[in-house]
Amino acid sequence: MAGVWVFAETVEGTPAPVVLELLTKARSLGETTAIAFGPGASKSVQTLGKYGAKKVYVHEDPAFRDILATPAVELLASLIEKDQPDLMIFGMTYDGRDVASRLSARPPPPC
Amino acid sequence: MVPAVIEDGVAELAGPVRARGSSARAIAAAIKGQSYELIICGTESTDGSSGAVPAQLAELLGLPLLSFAKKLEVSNGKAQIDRQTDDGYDVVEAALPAVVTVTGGINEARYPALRGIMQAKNKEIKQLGLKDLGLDGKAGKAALTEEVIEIKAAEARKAGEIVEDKGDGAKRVADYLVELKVI
Repeated sequence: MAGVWVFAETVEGTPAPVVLELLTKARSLGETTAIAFGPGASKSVQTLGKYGAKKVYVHEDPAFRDILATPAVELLASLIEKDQPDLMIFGMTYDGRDVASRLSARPPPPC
Repeated sequence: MVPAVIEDGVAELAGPVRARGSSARAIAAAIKGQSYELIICGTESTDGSSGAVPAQLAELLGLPLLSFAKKLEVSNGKAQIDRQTDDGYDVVEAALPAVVTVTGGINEARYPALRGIMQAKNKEIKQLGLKDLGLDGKAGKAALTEEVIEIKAAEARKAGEIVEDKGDGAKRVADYLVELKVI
């Protein structure tokens, strides 16, 4: 599989435990990219790399922490369009679920 | 708002073969064009538990989503919630109209009054099919994106082995750990 992306939730640069589990799974499936948004996200890069990410996308805007889901959805949608990963994995967390679900409703099908 | 039941093809929407976002699209199509300020959903169904519908609905209607609300207050054109987190809760607000998902225990159900029960019998309930919603051939089986291949009960945890100490307890525990290749 060409590209497996992991939505890497971090708090002040520390990845959530589920993120490390997802990376371990992802690296067994294909070339792994982690996506880390929010303040301090760049501090998590080394840990994400250690657990299997070959590439990490980072954006440190506080909007990712202060506004629910939508900034992450906007940016993910454009990154996905650009890079066309085969699979994207989210933890079933409070934020992961909101982001994944909103993203799955895009592009809005005609209704 | 007139209460409505989406009946036609509902089994298709939620069945083993389904199209991404079918349920949310049907609900969005049914309420589009009506006037509303707040759409309240449960957090998830107790069967699939994917909990995707409310966020998909918010995305399709272009609305903010206040999810996992333990408490909900509405005033001055805004909704404010206590949003469940792993460590406690965040206070989050959004302008109306908005979608809110609530967790269990948000409120005690009140007993309906007899008058309400009687009035309910005469309420008009609109029955809508996928065709009425303009989704014929665009939702459910007709637009297949995913299929449930199998549903299984979670494996029960096996009972542990109790080693009774008859003087050789330590050795037996050590042997067991060696067998597991732990030591």
